[in-house]
Amino acid sequence: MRGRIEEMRERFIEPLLSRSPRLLPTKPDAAARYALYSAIAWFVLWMLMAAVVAIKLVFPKLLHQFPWMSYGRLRPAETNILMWGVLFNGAMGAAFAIIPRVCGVKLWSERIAAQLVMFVDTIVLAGTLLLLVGRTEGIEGFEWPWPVAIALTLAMLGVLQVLMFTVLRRTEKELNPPAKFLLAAFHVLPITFATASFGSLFVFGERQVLYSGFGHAGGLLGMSLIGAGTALFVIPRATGRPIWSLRMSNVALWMMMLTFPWLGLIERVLGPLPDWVETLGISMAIASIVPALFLFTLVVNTVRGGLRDDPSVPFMTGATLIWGVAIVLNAVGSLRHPAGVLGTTWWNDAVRSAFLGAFGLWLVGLMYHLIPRIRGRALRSPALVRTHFWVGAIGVTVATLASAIAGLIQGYVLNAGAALHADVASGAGWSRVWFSIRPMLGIRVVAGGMIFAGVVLLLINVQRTLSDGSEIEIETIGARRSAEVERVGSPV
Amino acid sequence: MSGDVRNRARGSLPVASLIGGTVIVLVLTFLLAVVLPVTDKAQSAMGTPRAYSRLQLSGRKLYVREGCMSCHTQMVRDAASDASLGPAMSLPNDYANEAPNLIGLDRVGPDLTCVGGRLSDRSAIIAHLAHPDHVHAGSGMPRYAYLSDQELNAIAAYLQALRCKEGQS
Repeated sequence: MRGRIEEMRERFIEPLLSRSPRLLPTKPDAAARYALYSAIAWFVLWMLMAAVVAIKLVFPKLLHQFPWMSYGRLRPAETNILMWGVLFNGAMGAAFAIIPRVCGVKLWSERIAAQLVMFVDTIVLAGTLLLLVGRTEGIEGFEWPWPVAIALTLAMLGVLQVLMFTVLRRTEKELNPPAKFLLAAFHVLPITFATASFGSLFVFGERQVLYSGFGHAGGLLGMSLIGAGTALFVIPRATGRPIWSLRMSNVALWMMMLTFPWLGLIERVLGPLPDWVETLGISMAIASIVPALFLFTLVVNTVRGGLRDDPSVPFMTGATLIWGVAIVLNAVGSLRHPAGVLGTTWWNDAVRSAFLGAFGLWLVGLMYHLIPRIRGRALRSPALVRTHFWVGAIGVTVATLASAIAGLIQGYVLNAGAALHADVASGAGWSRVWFSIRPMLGIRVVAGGMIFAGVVLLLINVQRTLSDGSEIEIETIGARRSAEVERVGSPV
Repeated sequence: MSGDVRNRARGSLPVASLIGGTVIVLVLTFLLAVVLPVTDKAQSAMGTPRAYSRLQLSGRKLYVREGCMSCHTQMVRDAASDASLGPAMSLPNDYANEAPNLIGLDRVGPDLTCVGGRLSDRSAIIAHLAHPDHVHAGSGMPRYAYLSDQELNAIAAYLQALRCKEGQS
């Protein structure tokens, strides 16, 4: 198998790519670097768009004269930029850097991987522009027109191919936990994305909701696996301690795989889906708390007693905690009685904010850990990293709390209105709901500002690290392998 | 089996079990969580699908283009807070003609399942779409004054088509 993979690369792919050697470098970690820098660039654009969306909720007249800046077009555009431009690029960067390291071999093809990063960037740009001019499939989370969705599926399959061929060339027989989590994620993402994107085009009504829910749950599972894999890679290296329990990491992985794909069923509890479908979804939402507890236990016990000088560790532990809180919020909101109050309210946004905040913190922690090592420059300011952590973590927490409180207020105003036979749920009466939650929406804008300030600190620190950070040894893939296995622990 | 071949087979085992397990879990979940409810004929027979005129359909397309479902649901839930939204909760077959579905997830604005029953004056709807803050002071809805008169008329016609009969949402 390994020989056949090498032969395929030598005969068909390298001759094609070698025609433009300057365009795509073959240096180790080139693709990971491209992906991480792309993620940062999309992060800045996303923050600007998200700021406009958040401000529009408080001041609806802002930029109202431009159709492409209307709330209804901007919101899906910024959500897709976050998911694919920021998080998927970050996921590619994580996988292209982590899998070669834990497998002890170079990436199968840096050039193909780098081309895939550029392809994804092109897809995100095209999808965003199409959404802004009003070309949408209209399905929540899968708004990009189908040709864009096909291109993205192909890109994901390309990434999977690069990762699989890298893993199959490894010298270690077993797979380390970070490789398992990342490899599983890059199987989950294309399968669930393609099923939801294309399946929902051929069905109608509430059946579409089942397909898109499966896709949302797949996205959540994929990103959670990547976050967990990143934490289990960074923490042992940064603290000098092996993963606390490899068996527990395996159980957490499979518990996530068994429970998360069902979470799409709880998106519309008390809605038009059959009761038994909702009950299944609610049961799985409660069960999904178990892997969250396992992962948090694993992370805390691995960090405990280890070295504390690496500033990326707080990002990993903080992200895991916020991710666990998001799972609990999700499960609580899915129960039928709370759903009667919280369903369709801003509570949904609180769950999304916590999940996305956790994914963002995991990604930023990885950047602070990896960029100095792959560029051979020591971090210019660890103190600035710590400031970034607190600003970012507090920003995510405040945004989540503000949305959760807005959800509670919205739910109780609507229920009180119904009890008093006052029409607050429709038409002019809605303004009572709107006025009651408006202060929370203002607080969300402030929280968004804190997250943006954190991104600015990241940009400043990375720029200063690359320009005048003191030189350190560039981490060579393969040479570190024995140390890697020692730190991560013997694979199960 | 030679030692080298046996070693390679052992080396690919964790990868094969990981990938095989992942695919099996996803396929089984898809069958149980998506295919089984989709083929639940007893459930999907409940409810009444809507029919739209050409003008209403063009309004529906504009509703999708402008992303109105980002803020408005079309789903009356079996919850006390939804009691005033329609005469009964929404049923699966209510959406049988809807592609894309406009059920929605979040209510940034009010639910529109039966909004047509509350809005009889089309010119008032058009005025609200173009300048919501002029109709309801402090409204959080964005202005759609950039749409043409025909486009506003089509969206208003679509909204008026969203009616519910007794015993149906």
